[in-house]
Amino acid sequence: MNMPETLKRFEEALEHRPGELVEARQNGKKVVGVFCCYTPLEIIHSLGLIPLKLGWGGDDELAEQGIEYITNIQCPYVRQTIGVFKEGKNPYAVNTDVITISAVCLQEYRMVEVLRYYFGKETLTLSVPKNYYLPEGKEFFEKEVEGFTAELEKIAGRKLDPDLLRASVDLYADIRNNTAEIYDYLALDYSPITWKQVITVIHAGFYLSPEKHLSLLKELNSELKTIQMSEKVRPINSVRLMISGSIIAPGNTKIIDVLEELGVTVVADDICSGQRTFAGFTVKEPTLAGLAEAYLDRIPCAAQLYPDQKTDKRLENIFRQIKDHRADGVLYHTLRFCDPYTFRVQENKELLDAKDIPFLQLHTDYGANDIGQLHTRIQAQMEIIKRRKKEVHHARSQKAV
Amino acid sequence: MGQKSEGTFYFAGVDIGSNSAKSVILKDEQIIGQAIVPTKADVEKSGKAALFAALESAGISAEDLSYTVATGYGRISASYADEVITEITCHAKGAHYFFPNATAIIDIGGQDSKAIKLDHHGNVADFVMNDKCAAGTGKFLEVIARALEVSIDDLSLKTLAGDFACPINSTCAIFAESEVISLLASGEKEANIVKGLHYAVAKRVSTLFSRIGSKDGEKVFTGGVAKNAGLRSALEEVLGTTLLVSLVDPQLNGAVGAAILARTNKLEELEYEHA
Repeated sequence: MNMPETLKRFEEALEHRPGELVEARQNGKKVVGVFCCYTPLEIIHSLGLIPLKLGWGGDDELAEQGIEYITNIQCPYVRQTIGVFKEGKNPYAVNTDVITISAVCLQEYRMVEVLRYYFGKETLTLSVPKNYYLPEGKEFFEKEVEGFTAELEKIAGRKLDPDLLRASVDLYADIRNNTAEIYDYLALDYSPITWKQVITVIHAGFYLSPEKHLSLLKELNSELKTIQMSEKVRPINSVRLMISGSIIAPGNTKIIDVLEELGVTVVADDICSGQRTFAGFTVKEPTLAGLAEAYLDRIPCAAQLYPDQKTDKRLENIFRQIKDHRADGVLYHTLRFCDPYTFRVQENKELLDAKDIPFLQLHTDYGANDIGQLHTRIQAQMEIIKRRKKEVHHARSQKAV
Repeated sequence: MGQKSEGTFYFAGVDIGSNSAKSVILKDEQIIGQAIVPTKADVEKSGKAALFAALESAGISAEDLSYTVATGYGRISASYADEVITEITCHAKGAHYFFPNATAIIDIGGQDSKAIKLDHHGNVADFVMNDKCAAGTGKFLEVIARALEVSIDDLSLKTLAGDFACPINSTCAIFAESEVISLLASGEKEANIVKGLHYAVAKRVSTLFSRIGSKDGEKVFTGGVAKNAGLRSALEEVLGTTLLVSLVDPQLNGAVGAAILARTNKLEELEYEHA
């Protein structure tokens, strides 16, 4: 399959980005590294600070390096991210002045503490309430965002300007809408862009300036509209899967590589580093209170509790995507020691089983020694799905006769 | 297409495991040849060796085969096969061949253990496999047998002589090995330790089984470890159910399933060509 031309433009922009950051810092600009997805990027941007979304995966050696600061029974994403700071080569880690975390996952929170204690990084915490669905939780978070903004104002050396905030809110809304438009192609029988490419485009936004990211997203969208996919008969043995579960951070291509090798088409995801970066999100008013409300109300991380299965937005999002993107099954990826996602495996499985949607859990880390086992599991799941599709196809053609 | 005499078709299944390569030859639906050979460093050669040994025992040659399916971890290097299918699907078909009413399978092989839930046609409804470590696999028993300086066959026999199952806390093969050594040093009867070890494996495997949620119906025990009577009875006790083991060597179950699928898929292909 041909790669959309615009993807090369994303690559070029990323090549120039580290240099831009160095220059901006020389000119007195501050870079704010962001962990987790409850921090309003709009506030950072409107204060003239440069937001970067940090966190890396897929490198077992770097993950090993993190063990020096936390134990080897911690999540590999957290270990690797510490390893990246220890190594001191990654241009985004190196060029970060202040690190912020919206505290949802305990392990990630500890990681930021390690970066403060052992690497002398200035850090800023935004507490996220567990009772986010109650008025008390919302009120708490609004105050947290206010306090967080006051700290950012000190770093930026200027006060928040309501007009600039409004502009930043519009900019990020535009980015989310354009990303959603690109993501929607995955629902098609023949998408002009693959899931892996969509994720690359999303991850580019972790580092690029939002203005640059938006212009590239728009460019990509206009290109995708012009790509004509050849009309082929859809093979009944093609397998369309949705990926759910733990973070798949930049650099971690382990599972998608196996899936591509086996010919699986990934049609959707609900990963915090994927679809959940833009989905289910509306800022009703361009103020701090409006942002606090929108961020707190986003599709939650599994580390966030929910009071009622029936109103759980995370589950609702999974089911909606299976339907809209016509997924044949769900591949539930859990990183080793990522408890929030791992202890929900059985629940997810039972709920999907009840709707007769094939579910496969893959519990893994960044090491290469279980690639063979992953192959067997995914292939066996594909055999189940293909057989079912064949039966449905057969039953339909019998009816037609 | 290979066919020895008019109207007779031969099919082969080859299951290349981490420990041994197995092959089965079918004449229509009947097993007429079988072989088990150790898996060596060259996986492709090991698979071929099993296939040729099975062909020899069946008294036919490779040219007589209509279709061959390879499975097991060595399936990726099986140039001699017409199709490659995972051991999950093959084990399901194999167990269904021997026990048409089977609803679930426990398979314990050299480096894997798995629980498979079946539908009424021997199709996989659900499956769970062990983590990437040796706990609850044939490897675990091998390590322990070595520590006790007994053969793997004697290990099974020894459980019968035990009066009670000495509790073993480690399911990790490495930790269990040192636990066994210290138990021996403290004077514990060897047979009781072995019995305890079998319970440790049984408990580990039973958690896999509980995850597929199969309640009613016949349960089948397959894989090389199914030949271990001590483990079978420990598993039956832990699971609270009877486990069926085929009279044909249960280690061949995956290869039987592969051969059955070779037959089904070839016949389907012929049907399709005719239509």
